[in-house]
Amino acid sequence: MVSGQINGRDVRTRAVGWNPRLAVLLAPALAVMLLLFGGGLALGALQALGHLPGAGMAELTADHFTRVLLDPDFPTSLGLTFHIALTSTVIAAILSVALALALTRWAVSSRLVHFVLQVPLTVPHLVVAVSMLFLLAPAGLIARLAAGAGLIASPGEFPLLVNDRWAFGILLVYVWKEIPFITLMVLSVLQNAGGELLEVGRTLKAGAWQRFRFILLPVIAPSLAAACLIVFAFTFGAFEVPYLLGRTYPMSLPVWAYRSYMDVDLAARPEGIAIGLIIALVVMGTVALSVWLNRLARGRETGR
Amino acid sequence: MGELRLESLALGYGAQPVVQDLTFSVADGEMMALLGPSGAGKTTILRAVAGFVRPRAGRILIDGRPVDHLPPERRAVVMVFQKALLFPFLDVAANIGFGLKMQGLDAGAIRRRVAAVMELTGLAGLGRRKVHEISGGQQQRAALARALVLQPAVLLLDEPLSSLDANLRQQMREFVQQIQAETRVTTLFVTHDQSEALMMSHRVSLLLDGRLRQTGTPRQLFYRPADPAVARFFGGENFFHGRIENGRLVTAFGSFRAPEAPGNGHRPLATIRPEDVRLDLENGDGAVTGEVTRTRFEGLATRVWLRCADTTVVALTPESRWTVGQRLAVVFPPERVRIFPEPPEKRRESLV
Ligand SMILES: Nc1ncnc2c1ncn2[C@@H]1O[C@H](COP(=O)(O)OP(=O)(O)OP(=O)(O)O)[C@@H](O)[C@H]1O
Ligand SMILES: [Mg+2]
Repeated sequence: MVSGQINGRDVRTRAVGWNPRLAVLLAPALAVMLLLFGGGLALGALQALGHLPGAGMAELTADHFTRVLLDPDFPTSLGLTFHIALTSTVIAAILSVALALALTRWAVSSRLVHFVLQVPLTVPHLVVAVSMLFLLAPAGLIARLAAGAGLIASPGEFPLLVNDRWAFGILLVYVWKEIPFITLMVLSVLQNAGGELLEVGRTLKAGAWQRFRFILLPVIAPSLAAACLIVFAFTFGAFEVPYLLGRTYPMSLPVWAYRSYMDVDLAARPEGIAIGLIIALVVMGTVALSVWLNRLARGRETGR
Repeated sequence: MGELRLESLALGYGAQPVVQDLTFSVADGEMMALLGPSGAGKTTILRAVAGFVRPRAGRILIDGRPVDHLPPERRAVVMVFQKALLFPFLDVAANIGFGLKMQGLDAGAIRRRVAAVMELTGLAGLGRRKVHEISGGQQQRAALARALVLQPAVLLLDEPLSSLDANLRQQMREFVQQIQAETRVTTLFVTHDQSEALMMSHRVSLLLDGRLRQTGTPRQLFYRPADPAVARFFGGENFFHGRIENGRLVTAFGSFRAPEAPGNGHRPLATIRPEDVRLDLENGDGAVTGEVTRTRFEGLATRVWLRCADTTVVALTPESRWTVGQRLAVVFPPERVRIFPEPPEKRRESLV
């Protein structure tokens, strides 16, 4: 169920009941989606289970999954991937909410805001990652500028911000890329309903913090959560930024999957796909968990 | 306690002035209607009292103390907006208890006070409903309850009934009036509907063209309008110049007795409400006569336009038997003729 605000009214798209006409109308789109998405998934699963006739493997086996899951590096990689996805999502979410609030407070013209925010949205992740590399690398632009300005003795003293232990460079790219997306989602809700409800809050004697906690957060929560889930799912599964800016060891799961899949040894290929499927499962699990938490919170709000 | 006083208030947006030199008081426990056409600045005044708009000049006092420096959340004033604006993420009871929760009351006290105000506003039993699971009228009542539960010194209502259909609106008028009578909360009530203002409030303030034209009881505004513009706002249509001669008003189409007339030689402006004009079959006794030029059936009454010499007189009569072309006797009952205090010369011309 998606809920939101349109002109101050609570708009809810209810789960639509079974409707034969609707099914007929949706059938073509559903068929294409099932074929592309489900078919691909099924083929992938088949390969991950070892069915790779081209490489002389035909027997179905769960060995590739167990090998990945029992690999001593797996927990580290899983942890790193969670760190990248979760940290960047949380930081981007906090900064986006602050930015959206500031933009509504200062009544910045929404056309200007949309224009400025759309710039980062259109730049591919890969391009951002490469520019970060140029900027932040030990011999990069910032290091040289800092050295030139006498802030550090030589470019070599510049702190390691790419290929570093805490994945700082990766987080920076993701935060920079995802802020506009989350901000636009939050802004659209705020501009529709936030202002009026905040005035109601003021006349009902709610202080600034109370208005944020008890009015703004609940108003933006549904779209903020949706935006964060999308961002989390994307950053959890994307490989190009950690591939460019991450350390060679440990690898994030997507990088590991990519490496295995592209390995000259065809036998490593099912492992790569197995990792891909594990990533998909983790993301689905996260979505399910957040839906459940959301239900719980909602029940507490109304059913006290 | 709750006495509201506005002193020489000036309000505006940017370079555009909206209201000037506004002075009036709402007594403790009184229900005052702020009446005016759309765009007159009624909402702006309420928002200034609530603290959302900063006055350009003048003062706002509650119980004799200026409140201009206080933000909305620190004024003993609660505003109810035109739309109910309930919080969609809270149920009805939590909406009504919102202000109490912000004040840090404990859950038990909140529950008791919310239950009491829900009883008062006829919402008992609906507390667990979601906001979109109650009707429009119930939403408005919940918005009112949400304000009342805070027991404000002054309650501000900005056309809270204007989004309701006619029947419900009538019910809600009586309901709001009754609640106000029971709680005796000082209320400033904005409306652009003259009958709503007249039937609901103890006193009415009429706002026209950014100025307060008249404050008084509903009867005073209706029967003793301060100037032609006020009379016109309440449906006045007959305005005529005349000359006072021996207690009679002599006009272009005839003369009639005028009890409140000033001395001889004055040339005042007079009016009579259309429903006070009496029509009769002509009987040749020298009364004013006129010819029916147009009639319009309006349900409870029929509006009749008559040509009396060169002046048009409009009458609103319960009878629908008059027809175009008829010559009728036109009677102005002297006690119903209102003679305005003489306005400045230039204004008189522009108003007629
Ligand atoms: N935020 C604003 N910025 C600029 N001008 C405004 C603003 N709000 C109102 N106005 C102008 O101020 C004048 C008074 O508006 P206001 O809303 O107070 O009228 P009102 O009497 O409440 O009208 P209505 O009966 O239609 O609600 C109008 O001319 C309006 O265009
Ligand atoms: Mg208004």
